[in-house]
Amino acid sequence: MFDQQQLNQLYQYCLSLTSHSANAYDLLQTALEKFLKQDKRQVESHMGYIRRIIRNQFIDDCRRQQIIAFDPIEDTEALSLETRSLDQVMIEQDLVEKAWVLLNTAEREILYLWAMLGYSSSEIAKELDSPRGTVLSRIHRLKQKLQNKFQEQSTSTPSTLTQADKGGK
Amino acid sequence: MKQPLRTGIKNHIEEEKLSELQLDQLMTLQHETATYSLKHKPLLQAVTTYISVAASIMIALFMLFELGSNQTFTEQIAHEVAKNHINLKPLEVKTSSMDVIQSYFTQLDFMPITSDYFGQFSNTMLGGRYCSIKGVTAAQLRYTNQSGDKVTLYETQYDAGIFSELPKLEQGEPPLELYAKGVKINIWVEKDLLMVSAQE
Repeated sequence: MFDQQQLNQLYQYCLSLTSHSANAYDLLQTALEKFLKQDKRQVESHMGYIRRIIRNQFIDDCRRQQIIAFDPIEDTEALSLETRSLDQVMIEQDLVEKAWVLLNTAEREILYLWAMLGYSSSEIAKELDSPRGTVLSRIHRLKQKLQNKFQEQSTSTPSTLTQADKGGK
Repeated sequence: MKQPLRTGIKNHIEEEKLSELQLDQLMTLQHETATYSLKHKPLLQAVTTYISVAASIMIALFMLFELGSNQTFTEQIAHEVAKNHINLKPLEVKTSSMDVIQSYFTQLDFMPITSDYFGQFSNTMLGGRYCSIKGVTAAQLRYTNQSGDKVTLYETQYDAGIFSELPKLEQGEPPLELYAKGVKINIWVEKDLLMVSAQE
């Protein structure tokens, strides 16, 4: 059984996918029901396993509702980027919240896995069952999006952002 | 105040939490599922065990039947013939003449004959009727012996694939003799016909 802390972590993961609290709760409940019905004797990590159920369920829901939640990204120009590049970014909390709503599902999921679980790009690729190049491309796009937001914000209020690797690594 | 992006994201995500009501619902969901599994586990185990045992019995019976049928095929013939002998059905043709018998059984793939082995017992023919042995159409000829007891002789085409290897009179092999339901049964092959006699 999952304790309250774990349930909250799973809810936060659902929220990073759906970006909607009610949908996140529904997703968690559905995934939990599926998880409880399954034979888990061969499962090494219950948290990892239910995250996979959540993700598959979310994709199914998106397909059913004809929502395109994951943009196919095959941009290989940023393959040299690593999650380390995100570590160098400094940001103010209120800017995080503003930037968060600009991100798409795939980007929010990567940030969740990176920030909450401390995953590297390789681990994220494994978790998402995606090619590492795709994950790196998403990180690249994610960083660009954040930089744009930072620039907009610094133009209006210059003191809110410091980026150690402005313009690249 | 500036902070690393990771910290900022983490703080932002952790701000969102399930309400007490939602947590209660999810904890209850888990508890109920666990309780249901525990409650029904013995039943599921019992059903599984029952199915396994039933399947085992079926397999054992099937194997026993198959094994038994291979070992006692002649006994099965004997039992079938003895049953027919005891429950005598009305004759379809009443005659003491083999010519009449041969002209009556036109639906057979063989010609009923006078058996050399059976003929030595001085039985008197009463008539005959169609019947079958192990699903193969046969002629049932009915006689009485000198004591007045009824004797039946079954003749059908011999197929070793169906009836297995049986003693062949022409090769000097004596007929099989066995008892079924208190009836004396003799089985042999003569002139390529399977012969089975039944006598009380």
